[in-house]
Amino acid sequence: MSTTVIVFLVLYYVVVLGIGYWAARRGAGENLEGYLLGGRNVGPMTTALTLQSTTMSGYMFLGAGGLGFAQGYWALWYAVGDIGGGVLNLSVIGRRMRKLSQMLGALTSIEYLEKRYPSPAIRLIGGTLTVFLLGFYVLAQLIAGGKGMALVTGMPYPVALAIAVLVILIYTFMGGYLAVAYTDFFQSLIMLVGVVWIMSAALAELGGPTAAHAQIAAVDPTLLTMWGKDLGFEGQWGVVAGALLIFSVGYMGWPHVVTRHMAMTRPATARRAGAWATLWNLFFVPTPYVLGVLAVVILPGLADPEMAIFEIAVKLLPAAVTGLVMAAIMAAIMSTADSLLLQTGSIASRDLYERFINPKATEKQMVAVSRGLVLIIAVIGYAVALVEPPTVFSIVVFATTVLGSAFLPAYVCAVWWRRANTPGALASIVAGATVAFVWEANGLVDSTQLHPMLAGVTTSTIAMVVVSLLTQRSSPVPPHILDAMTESDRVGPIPERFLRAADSSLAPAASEVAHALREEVRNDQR
Amino acid sequence: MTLLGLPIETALVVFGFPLFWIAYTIVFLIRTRHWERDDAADDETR
Amino acid sequence: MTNGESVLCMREQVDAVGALRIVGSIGDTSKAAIERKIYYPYFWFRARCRTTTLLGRRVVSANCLIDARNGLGATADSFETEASMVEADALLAARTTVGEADRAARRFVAHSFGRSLRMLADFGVTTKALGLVYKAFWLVRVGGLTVLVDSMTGSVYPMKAQ
Repeated sequence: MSTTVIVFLVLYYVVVLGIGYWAARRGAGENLEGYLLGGRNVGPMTTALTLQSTTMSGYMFLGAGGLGFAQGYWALWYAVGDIGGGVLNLSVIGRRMRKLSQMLGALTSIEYLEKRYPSPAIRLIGGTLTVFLLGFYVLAQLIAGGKGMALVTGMPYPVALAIAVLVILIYTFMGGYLAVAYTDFFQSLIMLVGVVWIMSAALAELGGPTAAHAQIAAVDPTLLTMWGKDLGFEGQWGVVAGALLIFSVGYMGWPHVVTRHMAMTRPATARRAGAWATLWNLFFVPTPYVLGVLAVVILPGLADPEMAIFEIAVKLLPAAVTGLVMAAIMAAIMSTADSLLLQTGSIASRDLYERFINPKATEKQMVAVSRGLVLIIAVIGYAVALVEPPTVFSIVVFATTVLGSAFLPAYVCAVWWRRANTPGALASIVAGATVAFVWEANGLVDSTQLHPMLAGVTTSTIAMVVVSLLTQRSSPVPPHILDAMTESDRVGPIPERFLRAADSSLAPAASEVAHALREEVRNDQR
Repeated sequence: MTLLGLPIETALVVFGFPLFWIAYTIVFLIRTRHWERDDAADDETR
Repeated sequence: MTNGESVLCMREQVDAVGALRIVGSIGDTSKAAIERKIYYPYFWFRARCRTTTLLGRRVVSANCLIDARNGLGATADSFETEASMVEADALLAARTTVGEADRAARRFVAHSFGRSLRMLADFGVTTKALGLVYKAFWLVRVGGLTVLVDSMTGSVYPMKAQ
């Protein structure tokens, strides 16, 4: 590996640290308390960029490229669904979930589920499932970080992997150094510029898109079809539908993603964030997949297809640019791993340990539980990534399929369907997760030609509807939840201009005042 | 028939879906214009 | 009319005239009328936490208000307080205990910190209970609607007619 690459890699981190320092100084000068406690920094652009880019970086740079390399344009089925994932998520549940979680007083996305569908079982099953799957998801980031580090530094994979895992742990335990909104933004921008730059270099190398496609056709014309290499997926609409669904509607079922709705400063943030998400995705999402396809002719003898994008960068970009782009990609992978670990840690400590094991837990004990779990994940992850690393693509698709199948109806119906009740949600989560898991584990996709996501989400939706309807009488949705839903919906006899002027942070107090006034009237009548 | 060297079916999917999402986003933005005014009122009163 | 009670209140920024003006500016000024004034209870805490930033270790302290009716947490900008005589029927009673509120305050502050800094760390949150503090809300009737007006911020929230 050239020294220039390493010099620019270091330079990148210096700049990121500099931005962090500047932002911290600025924050300290103005209102550090407000920043730390109010979470007022979560504006539309940050919401959109973190929603998309920092949840999927390892997948995007390794998994997507690898799939493009192996299956050609078929891989784009995943991309064309993903482009709309952000706006779909924000438009369908963003604003309502922000209001409802505030009304119900939930801090984590699993706690929110328990408050909407009151039952400890919801939190126990939802929390355990999420901790397990997110832990698995982190594995993909560890592998991605290790492989990238090995390529950039030229170190052997086991050493590079160990360094990547260590850096991720430092990031998670001492995140305050880097995690400022400005660095997130800067990082996302470099990532976008990076992939577009690699794409331009690749197209220039091959003489433009038309010439590039002609060269691919010369190698294997089926790679240019939407049916996969050797038309392996021809007519398999059940698989196509799953590939489209997984990163479009699937997002709405991921607890670690929908939790960002709860942190939005204002409900209307969802609106502009939706527009940013689409704009960003249009440029960012399809590019890694197409780069993977182009790698078929740029790097014909590529041993590890998941390294396609990194290898193209190393081969075609000037050393300085490679350093910067690789640094940004690595930083993005670290940041993704970090936010997944944080989510996993907080769900384990707040939703499981504090809720079920030690309700009187001190903050210190909770942090110890989170950190302990993160360490366990890191150690197991290191071992698996070292001994027999699965592909990043297969891990991410497995984890996101099971998460999406389990939670999609629960999160969507939480705000949209007043009859969605606790037994319905429980049945939906259990059935969705089980079917998706069994489908994945037994490779049922080949025999049934149905994508696990399609099978899982269909099952969980049916379970939600049927069980909720059958148990309306025995388990009606409690009135306070219906009231909160009405508030988050706000349709009714109230003139629209008042709804527009309303400050939703007053909603919980308003509901208490209304309740107290009703009680007063009742007491007076007695 | 090809577009940029891609079979027409592939081109339709690759360019058609993004167009659909652009349209979806625009419709979403238009239909939720009042969310923004909600914020403006919020600013004035703060 | 019931007896008055001396309680600690946040000093109002919006008086009855201001509340009517705000509601009038949204709806119809001529029809807006003050229906009543309600004092809403919060447990008031001063929370302190340690944090390490790029600028070194810092101790950050902030006001934390826990809704004494439903236990929800919120941080607040600094506010002035004053002791006021309030009629008992204008006071909403606290429903949570100070112990529950203290726990909620620690939890809320630690959660907000972890989220903002994106780190798993013990921030050593300590809280000092400053007692119950009441915030006045104006209930303004306009047409068939009752609008809640925050006497500190002037924010409004429409409620169904009572």
